[in-house]
Amino acid sequence: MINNFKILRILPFVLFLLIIFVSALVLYQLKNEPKNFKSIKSQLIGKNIPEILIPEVNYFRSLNGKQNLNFKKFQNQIFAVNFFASWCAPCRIESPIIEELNKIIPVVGVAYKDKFNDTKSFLNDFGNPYKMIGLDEHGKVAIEWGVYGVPETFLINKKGKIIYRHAGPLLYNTFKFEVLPLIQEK
Amino acid sequence: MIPEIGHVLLIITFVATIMQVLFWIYNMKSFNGFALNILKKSSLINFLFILSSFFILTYSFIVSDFSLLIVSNNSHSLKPLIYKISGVWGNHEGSLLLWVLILSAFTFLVSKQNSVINAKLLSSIIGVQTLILGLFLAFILFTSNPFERVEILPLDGRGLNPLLQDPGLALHPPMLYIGYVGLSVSFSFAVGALITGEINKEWAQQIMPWIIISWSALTIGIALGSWWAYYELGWGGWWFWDPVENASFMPWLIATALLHSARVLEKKLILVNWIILLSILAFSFSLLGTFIVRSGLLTSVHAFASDPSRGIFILIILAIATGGPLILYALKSSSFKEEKTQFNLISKESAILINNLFLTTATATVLIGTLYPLFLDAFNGNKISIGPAYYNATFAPIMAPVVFLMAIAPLLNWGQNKKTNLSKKIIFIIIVTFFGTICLYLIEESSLFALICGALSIWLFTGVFAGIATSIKEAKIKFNKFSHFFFFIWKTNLGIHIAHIGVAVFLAGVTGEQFYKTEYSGRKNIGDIFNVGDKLLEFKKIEMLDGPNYKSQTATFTISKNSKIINTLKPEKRFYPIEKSQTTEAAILSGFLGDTYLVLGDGNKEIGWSIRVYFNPLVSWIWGGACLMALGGLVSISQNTKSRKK
Repeated sequence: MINNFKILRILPFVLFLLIIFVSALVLYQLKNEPKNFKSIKSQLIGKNIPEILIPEVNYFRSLNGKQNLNFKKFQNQIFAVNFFASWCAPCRIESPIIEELNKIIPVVGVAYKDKFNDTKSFLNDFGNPYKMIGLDEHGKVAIEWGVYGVPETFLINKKGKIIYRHAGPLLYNTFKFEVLPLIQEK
Repeated sequence: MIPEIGHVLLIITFVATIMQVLFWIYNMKSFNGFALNILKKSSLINFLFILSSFFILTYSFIVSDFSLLIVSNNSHSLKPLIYKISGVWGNHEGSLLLWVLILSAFTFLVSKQNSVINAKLLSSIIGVQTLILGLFLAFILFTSNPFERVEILPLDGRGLNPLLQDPGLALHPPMLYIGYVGLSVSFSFAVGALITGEINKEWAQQIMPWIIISWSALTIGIALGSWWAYYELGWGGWWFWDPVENASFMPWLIATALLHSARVLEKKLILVNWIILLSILAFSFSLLGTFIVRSGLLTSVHAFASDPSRGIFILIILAIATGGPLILYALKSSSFKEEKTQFNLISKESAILINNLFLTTATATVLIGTLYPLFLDAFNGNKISIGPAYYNATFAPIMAPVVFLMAIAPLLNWGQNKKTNLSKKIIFIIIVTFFGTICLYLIEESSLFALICGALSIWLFTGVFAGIATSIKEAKIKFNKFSHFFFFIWKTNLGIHIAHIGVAVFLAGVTGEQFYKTEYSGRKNIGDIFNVGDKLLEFKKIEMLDGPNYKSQTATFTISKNSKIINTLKPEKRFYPIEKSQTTEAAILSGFLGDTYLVLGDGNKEIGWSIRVYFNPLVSWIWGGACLMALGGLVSISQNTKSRKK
């Protein structure tokens, strides 16, 4: 049956070469620029913020672990949630932009897989750009929010729905051309 | 000192494999008994050296030698012994060592078959196996040395990922690897046939047990993984079409096709090229699976270890191990002689051929679904992920005809169909399926797809029983003596029937789980009573308990039906202080007819806890079916060896 079409015999090899070639291409890109998840749209866009409790921490007085972050404070206004960590270098870069953002809308910081004292000294060194801070010690909240890594920023609209997500440090251009229009629009 | 011995053993074996491969190539033209003997002996020595090296690594884990990088990264002195041992393969380096250990064991076992396999073929098989062994040893030594030391000695280890501290998962990698690596034997048989240019019915008989062993192990391995995902991940599902799951499923599909078509070759010298190609592909898909899991190419919940530079190395191995044979296939496969027969449409071989076409198409569908995100990423940088919706729409319809044929094919004869009342049997199966489906509809109204799925399961059950009845009748067995029972097993291809019943059982489980499950999720506090389906649940209490290496928050629920308490469920959230991570232990009340599955979420006394409850009818049949399939495989191996001796 197959015997009559000898050219077909080379087909498995050609298909195989194609797979190898594409894999090599992707691996090559992976090596050069570490994982880039910025363009993945969050599953959560258009949905309510995940119902999860984050212990609220007041870094400048003492650990106030009994209370949980209360997003209801920001009902009927746009606000942002920013995942960060003291051990994360890009978070230092975006710190001034987050401060800028906090002047326009309230920003809630969630310290991801971090220790109380480390976060405290981080905020002392680079300034505290947040209205409110939560501590996600074991990174569980981040899982619920579908966070790939820190830093990551979410915008939440007046109805409590997530409208925007940005993975990686929030830089000036993104802030000006993507985030600001969204805030002004609503 | 001791770990260094393990390392040196691996280096020696690696150098030895290079020499063995050169020796094989040098002697390829004129192979004699003496040269074959050297290859046989060296495959034993390879095996013993790697085994010793593996024992040394296991020993380092048992005594918690934290000066070794992988022990300090993956173990902890307080871990239970069984997880210290399973920690050996719970990480990248150790699992690769297990991989080469199994490969060398298989090579040694094949080399013992010199009384049945002819010398020229056997030497090629050992040669190819040794080449693969050498490639993987190089991979271990150059990129993933398990015996690497740490520079600063830690006080204690970091522990094994708590998700992996589970009896089901301790056995999952070894079973899967036996399956993956076992397929290398049929691969080497195929390459051997391409090199020697000879193939015959004996070739198919000799290859058969190896295919069945690896297929059965792969079945069990995949089932264990799915079972683990079901009760440990707490997502309430059993298969997620995750790239890593697909990576193990594709070799299984190809091996299933190979298993069936090799049976054709045992009877008739046809489909030779096709079978050679399948043998090469089955192992290539295993390698592709290893590549996908180990390179981090596709991000997945399962990818515990990944590193792009390792990926490049595996890609090179894949290119050599698969590319070479495929070129050889393109050049030499037309030289095989085949029997000239006419294909009868209604015969076992054409049924198997159709089954093969569907199975390979199904594999291609899964392959496209798995690799498409990769292709898209490479060409325009878009990141997408492909979920169950794709597979439900593409994979399921392709498999339906396979199941449909599976009931009829065992009733057919090889070649010309003799008059065996085939139409009578088929009418019988149709009638039973028809009334069964009506019963199903009357019991619980459901969607069309549920009915199709259920009907296929009934169809297959009936078909298999008709098949068993036919073979009993043909073999003229009377059950008046106990010894006749064994005669019955031997004479009736019982292994095949058991495996097919396994598929029917599996399908029934899938139908129940997919279409008839009830689900509830919400926030409840202590003392709450609520209805789920026809059952009543009460949230009794929640308490903190201590486990051997974790702390647990355990809730207690009672479940009652018709105001009678049936059982108590205790879902947990475990916190592992060493690894600083948390796992969800779903409370599962497993029954023959279905499971009650309860997951405890986050919460506190003020606002209550979020909980999820599922009633999954027949879900345990999914794994029961898989076990039956593997059992069928093992039974048919024993039949196979018996009939060969005879």
